Amino acid sequence: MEKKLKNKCIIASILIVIGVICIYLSLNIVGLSELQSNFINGFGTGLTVVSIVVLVKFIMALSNPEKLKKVGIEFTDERLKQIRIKSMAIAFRISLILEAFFSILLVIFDYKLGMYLGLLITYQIIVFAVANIVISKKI
Amino acid sequence: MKNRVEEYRKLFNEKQEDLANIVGVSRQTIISIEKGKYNPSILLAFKISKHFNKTIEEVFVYEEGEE
Repeated sequence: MEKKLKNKCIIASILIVIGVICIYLSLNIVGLSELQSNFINGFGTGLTVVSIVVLVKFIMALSNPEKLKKVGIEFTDERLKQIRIKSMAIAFRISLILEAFFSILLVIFDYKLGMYLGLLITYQIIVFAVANIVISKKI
Repeated sequence: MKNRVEEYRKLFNEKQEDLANIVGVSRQTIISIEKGKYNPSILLAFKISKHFNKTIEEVFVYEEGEE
């Protein structure tokens, strides 16, 4: 568990760096519209803040055996894992339905945007199909 | 699935948190198991039964027709 948490600390640190880079780029790239700049800035800020909170949580857990056990259980508890998997499945289904609906709607008003959304749906379904095949061969 | 987890836990004079720590799950999972809202995996069922020195069938009651 300690090794897993240390790896997650490394990932959180990388995400902080990416977030900071996004913030820097949003302020320094020439030619970006205000909307684009704000979007990248917001993305970077959100990513940095969340990653810092997660990193602090993991560092505190690593320095305290009681907290380490508690955090470990959050990752390994089978009921929590099942809840996460079911939530992701529901989110995926609802997202696909909404994306399909908006894709059709957008094609009427902006063909390119609707098409890109349609492509995104296609990629998601391909990834789902491939993951299904790979996992069914493993278990 | 019906079970006797609460009964045996009280027999051993243990809190839900104690049992959760011993078998490596959260207290909420033990609560859900005792209420019959969550069916544990065979591994977890085995760990709980072993802790009580009972067989799985003595702790977890399977009834015909259960999904």
